[in-house]
Amino acid sequence: MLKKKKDKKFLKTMEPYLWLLPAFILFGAFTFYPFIETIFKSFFIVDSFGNVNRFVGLENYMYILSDEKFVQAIFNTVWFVLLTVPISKVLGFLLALLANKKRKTSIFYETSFAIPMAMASSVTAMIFQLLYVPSLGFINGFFGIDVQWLTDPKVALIAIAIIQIWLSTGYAFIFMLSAVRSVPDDLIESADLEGATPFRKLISIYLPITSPTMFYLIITDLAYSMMMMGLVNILTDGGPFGATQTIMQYVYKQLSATGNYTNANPAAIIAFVMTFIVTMLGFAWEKKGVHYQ
Amino acid sequence: MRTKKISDILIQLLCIFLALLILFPIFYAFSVSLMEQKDVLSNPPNLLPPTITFENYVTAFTRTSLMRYMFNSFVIATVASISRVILATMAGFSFAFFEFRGKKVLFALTMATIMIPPDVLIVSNFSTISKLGLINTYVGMCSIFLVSAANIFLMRQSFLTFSKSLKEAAHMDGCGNVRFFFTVLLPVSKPILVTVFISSFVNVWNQYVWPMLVTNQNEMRTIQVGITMLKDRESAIFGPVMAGVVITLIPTVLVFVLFQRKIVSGMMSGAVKE
Repeated sequence: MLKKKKDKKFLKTMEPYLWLLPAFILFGAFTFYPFIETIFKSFFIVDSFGNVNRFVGLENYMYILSDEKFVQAIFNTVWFVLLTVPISKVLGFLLALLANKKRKTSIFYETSFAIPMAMASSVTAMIFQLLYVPSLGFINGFFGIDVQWLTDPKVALIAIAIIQIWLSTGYAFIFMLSAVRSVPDDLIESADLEGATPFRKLISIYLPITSPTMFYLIITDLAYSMMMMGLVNILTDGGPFGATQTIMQYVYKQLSATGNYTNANPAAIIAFVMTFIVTMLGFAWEKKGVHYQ
Repeated sequence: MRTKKISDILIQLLCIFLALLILFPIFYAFSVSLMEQKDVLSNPPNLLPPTITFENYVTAFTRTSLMRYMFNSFVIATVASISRVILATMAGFSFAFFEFRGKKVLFALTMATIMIPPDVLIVSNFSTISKLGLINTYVGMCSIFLVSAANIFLMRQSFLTFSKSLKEAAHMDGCGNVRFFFTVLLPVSKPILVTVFISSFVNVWNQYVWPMLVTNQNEMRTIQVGITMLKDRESAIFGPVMAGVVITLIPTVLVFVLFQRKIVSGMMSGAVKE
């Protein structure tokens, strides 16, 4: 009788953990374990089956950081992030300002601005591959230009960045639209009474009030764009001459082409550390530039 | 008043123009999918098909494994979304309604998983999956999508809006936690469950890197992977590929347009600062 009561009490203290258990088993298996394993193995020579061979300390890091291809991949990644994150956010913000007031046709253009959100990167890549065809492709044909979009080393990464901007502007738009619409009407009215110019209203009302949303968008997109590899895999496979290879595509190549875990692990960790630092810088900036009400 | 009306119309015209510009790639894919091969790449470029043909769709359906790809995507998106909904409600229930030791730590760990981009983990996850012999299986393809910390957070936030007295009242009536969970909490949370399901379905349906990594047999490819393999990078036969593109994007775009409000509100509540 007493034992039964004890069991019941035990079950009661355990209950909240049991509700969490399935989620944590999966987090353990596919997030925490691989994270620790990747860090751990990045200090070892690893064979092509992923088994640890020999401890080498930071040598793997030294090795890939002296690999010209990897250094190029770091620069490509940073360049890609610098191109896509600010431009898509500014465009999203401008579209939100334009769409701010509800009008008769609002429903049409609001949905249209947001639709790229629902598009997969691979499908979008296929469409732009067609648009980018150099001879007789639509973009070159329509504008009467002759740009080797995906085969000119100077242009290829920009061409891929354009696709990413197209994909992510809608997301920024939707968030900024709700932020812009949350600006109190009386604030705008009193600014109008004082004869504030639209530019002045933008700088001293809209920007500060929407800054928390902007901050959220930038932080999440930074982490996302640092990891980009899908578009590159489909369109250029890192070429021409490594001009579009990103860090994660380097990781993927090491893994899929040669089973080179020894290079893949430290490369993935470098990508993580870079993302982490950038995110932390973002949070530092948050303290200064973001206004919470 | 008059100038205001005119500026209103002008802004609407501008917005509609921009909307068409943004939709252009989708529209163009649709248009090319109805073109004959000789009209796709021509000088000057064709915006609309000079003659409409459905040949590309016939090719896409009969000469490629498109249907099989769609089926695979449907399976993993459905399984992963159901799993995400169930696990998120369970974990959210625990975080919102119970007091227990280590709650703060466990919640912090949950949120920490958002800080680790899944791509960083593919090296290790890939070797786990291949060691378990799960390459080319649905289990392997779903594995990393089965739980989402963002969804857990969302469910917790939603449950926190219910007062604890709701649970206490249920207890008074002799209703246990499990029964409370199924007969009270889940029914009232239906809207948010639908939101989580739909947005995760679109998300998993659109995944590319992981499904590509863990499959190497044609019949196990998902639609997003398969579509990129319908043609070589150098080949210029775009018609059937664009037919495939249109078929692939219709489900997600349609779902998005129909459930836009739900999807957006779900994402936003995950983003709001506590």
